[in-house]
Amino acid sequence: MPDPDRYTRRSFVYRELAARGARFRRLAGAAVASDFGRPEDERRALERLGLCDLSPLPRVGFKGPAALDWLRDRRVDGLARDNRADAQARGALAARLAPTEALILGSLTGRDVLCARLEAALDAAPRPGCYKAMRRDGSFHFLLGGAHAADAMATLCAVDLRARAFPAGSVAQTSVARLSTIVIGVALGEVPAFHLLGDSASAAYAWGVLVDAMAEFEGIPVGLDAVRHAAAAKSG
Amino acid sequence: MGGGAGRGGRAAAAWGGAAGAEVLLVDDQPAPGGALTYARFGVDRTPQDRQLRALVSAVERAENVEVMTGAVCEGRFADSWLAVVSGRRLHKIRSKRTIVATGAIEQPIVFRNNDLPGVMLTSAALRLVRQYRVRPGRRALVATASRDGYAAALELSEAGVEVAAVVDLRRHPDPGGESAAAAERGIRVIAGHTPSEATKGRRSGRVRSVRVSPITAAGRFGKGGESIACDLVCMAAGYAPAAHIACHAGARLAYDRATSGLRIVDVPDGMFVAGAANGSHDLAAVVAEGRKAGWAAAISLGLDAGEAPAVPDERGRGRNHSWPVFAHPRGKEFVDLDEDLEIRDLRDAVDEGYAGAELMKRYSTVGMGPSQGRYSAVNALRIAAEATGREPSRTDTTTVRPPVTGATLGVLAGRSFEPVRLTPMHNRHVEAGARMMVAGDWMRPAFYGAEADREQLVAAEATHVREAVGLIDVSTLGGIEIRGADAAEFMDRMYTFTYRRQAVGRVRYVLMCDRAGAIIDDGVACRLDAEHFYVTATTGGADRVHREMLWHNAQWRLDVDIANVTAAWCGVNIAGPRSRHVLGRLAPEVDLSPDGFPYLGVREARVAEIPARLLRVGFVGELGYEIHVPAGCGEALWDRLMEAGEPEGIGPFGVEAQRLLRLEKGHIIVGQDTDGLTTPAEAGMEWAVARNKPFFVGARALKVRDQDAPARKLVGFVLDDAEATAPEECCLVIRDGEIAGRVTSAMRSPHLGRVVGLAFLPPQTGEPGTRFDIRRANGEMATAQVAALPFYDAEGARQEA
Repeated sequence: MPDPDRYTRRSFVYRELAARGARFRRLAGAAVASDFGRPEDERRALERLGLCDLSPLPRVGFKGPAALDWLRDRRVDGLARDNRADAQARGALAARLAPTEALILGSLTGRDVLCARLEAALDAAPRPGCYKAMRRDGSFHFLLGGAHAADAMATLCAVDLRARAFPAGSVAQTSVARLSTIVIGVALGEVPAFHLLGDSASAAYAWGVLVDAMAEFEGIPVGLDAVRHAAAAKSG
Repeated sequence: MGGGAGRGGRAAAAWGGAAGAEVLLVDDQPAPGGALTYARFGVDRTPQDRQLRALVSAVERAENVEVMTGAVCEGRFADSWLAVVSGRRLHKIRSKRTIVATGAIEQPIVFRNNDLPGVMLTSAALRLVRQYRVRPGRRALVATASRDGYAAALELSEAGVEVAAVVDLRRHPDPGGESAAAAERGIRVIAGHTPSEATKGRRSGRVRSVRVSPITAAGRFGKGGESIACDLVCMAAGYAPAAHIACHAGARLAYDRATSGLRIVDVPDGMFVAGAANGSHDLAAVVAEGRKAGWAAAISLGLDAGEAPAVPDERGRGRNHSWPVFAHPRGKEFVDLDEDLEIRDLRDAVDEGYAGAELMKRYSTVGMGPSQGRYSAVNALRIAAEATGREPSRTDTTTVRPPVTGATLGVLAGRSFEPVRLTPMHNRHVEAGARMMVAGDWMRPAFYGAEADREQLVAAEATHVREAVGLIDVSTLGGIEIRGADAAEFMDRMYTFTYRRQAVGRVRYVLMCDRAGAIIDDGVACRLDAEHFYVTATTGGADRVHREMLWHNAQWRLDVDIANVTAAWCGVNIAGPRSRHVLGRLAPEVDLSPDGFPYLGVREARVAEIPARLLRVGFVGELGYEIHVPAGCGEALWDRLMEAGEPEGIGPFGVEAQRLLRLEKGHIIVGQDTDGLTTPAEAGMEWAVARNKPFFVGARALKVRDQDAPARKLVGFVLDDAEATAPEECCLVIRDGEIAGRVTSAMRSPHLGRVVGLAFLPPQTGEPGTRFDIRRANGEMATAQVAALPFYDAEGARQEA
């Protein structure tokens, strides 16, 4: 089992995960918490409420007046409306944050190449008016999922995130526990979930706040395996 | 949102929900139903029970109606912000439309000894009977001014309470209906009378009997009548609307002559009042009003709510008695039971000149108790009107403020959300024994070791940097990327220095002023390519700098992208004469020789296989490199540098040592050595101002201020006494007995063996060698003299090595 601090890239909350008994494995050049020693319990918990750290996984942003056109030219789908997220091939997600900004989340497998391909393309041929945003380093990335995810978020965020007001694909750029956060609604099979991205320097604070908010609904931290299992149920 | 889940509220919710509105129904009771759950509407309970079931069913059927019971809407604030408290939780709700169906508050009769146990509102007695299955007394006297008292007498009688009599304050009770049913049940009716005095039982301590007297005029009773034995007195003199939420929104209460009671008037747009809160009480009328309110709210939201429901107008008819206040020659007729206020107390207030509602409230404290005037306001208004010879309808009411009931301190305080920013190396500092300090939103290591050894530890860390090599976490510095064709033009406008001719691969100091020409931030700008600057900002100033940049470019419309990358990049400063050796082990691809990577150069390279930006800067006055890497790799960078520096004895140093080192070099800290008015000239920073530029933020103000000589100047100083301790920052500079300035920084320099510092002095006294005094915080004086800056390595040979 890999030790997170043997890697160059580390999750912003790997200590918090380790303290809860996380078991790590290598993914995308970093150590990812695959489970906490109770994979079956975690799968069940995620149906109710679970929190998963996806911070080590690839993600990148692009901004500038030419950013969206540049992404479309590279076969990134959607990007038609602000505050909408669209699924991409092989599990990636593209969210349009503004007419001049988009966010790309890699797939849960960590093997998605979209982020890397786009970054390499811009490095190789810079496009005036299109600039990379270091989302992998500037933002933590958590996933809060389960039937009570919206209930837990209601204690932290003023936006109505219930499914009928905030269906999958919705994006809110708002305040969560006084932290500027991007919230993206997704469905992991039958499990409603939110991608949460915020200031990476505040990752430990955000993790603590979310764990505390989950306690009321008996939510627990879960590993990436539980999230993948729920997502796989969609295709199954 | 609907306030109140009684008849009106439920009817409104059902109608609005059916029209497609998303409805939240809030009720303070544990079960919905409002007055239907306890009060009696008519001779037979069957219709109201049927109606309750129908309303519950209608709400349950509506998919988009959510019901919150046991929840109190404590206040309505600006922008329709409704504070709903449920248990220990405060729900912050914003509604597009608000329906107030909060019901009405039953009003008492004021008579002598009405504070005895056993004297209660009819609604209270019926709640005990219907909701708690508690018999409130054995023998009851019901005093009423409407049919509601008769219905209550029937209910009490069926619950096993002997009803001694119904005392009707009206001379002519309603014929038929409840009064006829009461008569059939053998309940005695005494019309045109009022309770005038209650008597306490010696053993029970509660009411034993009530004197019933004939009413001779409004608020007056005559001789005669009789004493009736009872241990329960139920009062039903009318109702006042539960108007809190409506009043918070801007509505007000006004006395209505037609109904002899208060009404909610001036209801603002977006709010609808229905049911008993609107003065209706009959079963059918309340439900119809609720439907009408639900319809109106839905229509105003643009929904198809069908035809407007018809509403019978019965508002308040015959419910309120016009004057249920009966003064007794021996007093003790309590108007406000919370505050022990009798009729004469309020009359005295008027006699003293406090006749207005607000003045009377403050003078007498009426309405200031726990019930907040719910049971006293109407009668107090009547008393004030009588005492001033005015109609009640021409008498004002007091302001209704949140909270409606009372919120606990825990609810008001709420959960504490205080975001804290940690650098990627934070835990390494803690593991190394760092004393952490707050720096803006961040935590930074002040020094490493025990608090008791602070001074020695700081000195040792600083000396280690001067003599060997130290490592400090500078991740909290702001980082801003300026990218685009107009990047250099933008930099020239934002900062005082010039950047158009700054070479790629070079670092240049940046100084930012506000529009008044005062220094607000500093840092360095790295030109990474012709259209890309990476700019640092102070820890506390990064967000402001970013905001200022966005604000200005919203007007300038230059072709630049401005990105705050403070959290995306982290950094360390490896400083000291051996820093080059340490870095060389981890960055073999970089030519670190003095010529290959000179002072104020910037390189993009890999350090320990991590992509990095290396800046040769000299804040602490030694050979050193700031290494900026992606935040996710920050801890690994720290680990690799500590390992690589082990042969050189590398050690971490904290903010305190850094402050000392920079002070020895005479470098200012914006915010500590400057204040909100300090100009570059006052701070000795004129060298960083390009006066020949056509424009930069603050240029015009500085030009205007050039017409006057600076009023002060920041100078270096040393204390005369080599053994003296450092004065605290902001200690006063005294010359000729007058305040002449203040200290901005002062620390003991291990290199110089004495206290050095920076202070503001009048410009004419700023020459080296000039003596002045510093008044310490304890009042003692320390003598100092102005010294040339920097205190250390004046030629800059060490940092440029």
